Amino acid sequence: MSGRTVSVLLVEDNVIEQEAVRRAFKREHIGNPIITAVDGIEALALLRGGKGGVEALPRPYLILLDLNMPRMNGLEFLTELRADPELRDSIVFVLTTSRSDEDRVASYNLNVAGYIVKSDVGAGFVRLLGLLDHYWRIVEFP
Amino acid sequence: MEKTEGRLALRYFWEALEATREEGVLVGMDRFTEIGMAALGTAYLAMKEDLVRKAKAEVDRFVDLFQSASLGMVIWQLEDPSDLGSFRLVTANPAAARSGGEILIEAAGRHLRDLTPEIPPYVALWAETLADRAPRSWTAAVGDDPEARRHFDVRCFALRENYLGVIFEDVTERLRMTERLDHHVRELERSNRELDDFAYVTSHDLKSPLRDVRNLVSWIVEDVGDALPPSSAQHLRLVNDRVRRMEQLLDDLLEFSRVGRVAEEPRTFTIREVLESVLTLDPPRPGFSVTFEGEDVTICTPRLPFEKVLRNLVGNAIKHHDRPNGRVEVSAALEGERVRVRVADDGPGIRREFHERVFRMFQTLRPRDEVEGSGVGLAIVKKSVEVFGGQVHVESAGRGAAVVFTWPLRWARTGA
Repeated sequence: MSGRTVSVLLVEDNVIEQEAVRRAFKREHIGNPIITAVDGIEALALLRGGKGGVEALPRPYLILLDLNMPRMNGLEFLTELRADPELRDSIVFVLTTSRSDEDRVASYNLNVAGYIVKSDVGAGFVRLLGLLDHYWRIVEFP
Repeated sequence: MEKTEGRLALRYFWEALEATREEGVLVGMDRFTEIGMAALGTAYLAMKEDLVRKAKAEVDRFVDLFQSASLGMVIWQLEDPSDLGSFRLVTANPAAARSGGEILIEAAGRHLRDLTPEIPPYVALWAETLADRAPRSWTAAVGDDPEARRHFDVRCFALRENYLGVIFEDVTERLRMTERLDHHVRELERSNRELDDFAYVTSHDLKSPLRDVRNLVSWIVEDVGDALPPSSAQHLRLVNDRVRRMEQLLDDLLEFSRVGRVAEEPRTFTIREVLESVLTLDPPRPGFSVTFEGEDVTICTPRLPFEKVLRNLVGNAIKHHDRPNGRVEVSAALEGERVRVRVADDGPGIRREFHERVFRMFQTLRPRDEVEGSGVGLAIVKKSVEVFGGQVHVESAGRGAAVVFTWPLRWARTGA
């Protein structure tokens, strides 16, 4: 891998869920930077940069995406993302409370790297972080 | 003369009508000639007094029926097969007059061409019926104003010679009733769907803030846990406990709302197999035994709902047991096209006045702090069983209780 630290773009409208991720990172001593966006529109703006001289989010990054969000929800965001030639190769994990089959199928059809149901906060989160930690150690990023 | 002819025609009419009735639908006409000839031969050709009297009495009976029937009945005679206007009205009963107008009674003996300026299109069907002697049925709407339009089910059949019987029934009210019923059914389906969606959305959306509460509590404990006074620590534990209870309630509510949305195809399995898989997934707690008794019946049905019912019942029997040791007996027996499954325990029993109540939503018989439960389990059991066309009830007198439910041996999706 490139040796550059992978940053995490957390697309999540609930500040408590945001904090849950941040605290879990801290607890597991994972130092990768976390950037947050509250919905798909804000996330796309961060990824594309440009407006007001803001730089696009530098690679490598990994996106943790919630599905239920205001303005532009997770699936709409994924659709936009896959249609954008600059961003279409982004690695996205869906992190949601939705167990619905439709959501899962739709997500994988939009080429997500994984669909993760946040059922319990405690142990599940630790395992998820373990997965991410290994993921960016092993996987070559685009 | 007129009168005799009317009676003779009536006689034909009744013979034909009864023949069609005997055969169920409209296929009895072939038998008309045979029966009619025999009866008429007896009635009209016999010269002996008593026979004539008998025949008259019989004809009178027909006349009474004709007069009092609620079906409109009209008899026509086609005088010239090449001229539809030559249909002559032989007789009409009062019911026909009620829905077809008094004119039918007054017009006896007159020809169609004199009764209406234009021959209605269905009269061609009359002539065809006389030609091929095959009965015909159709529905007719009378009146231009949609609000006041009347609807009739009409049937016509050939009588002897060139006589034609037409019977009709005013089905306007029935049609309107059916429409109203359809409307209500659609309304009911819509509101049921809405209720399901509502339960689904609320239970999903309510869970998110609950997760937040749980997160926040765990962070408080994480950050200042040691510094908390014991009572506050205890309160936070209770907050967690109540959150978990609420989550369980929402999960159960969600599950309840989804019962009946059967997506799964039927599979073939035996009751014992299902019980074994229930016990593998949820082994009974130490001190409890679950055994299978009786016939091992094979059924073909979506498996998950059936398994869920059995899991809930076995789980309940153990959860609500009042002693450290206990037995649960599951048994099955064939009952016609169904299997009757019985889950019996030797627990505290359920008092008679609660036998119905236990199946209602959110009903528990003991405080939730004693036995954790949302009171949805048996409601789910009842809804599942009923969705599949079965029934469920409790049997209990004194100690021990049994829940008995029936399930079809072969379940097939019905309706659209």
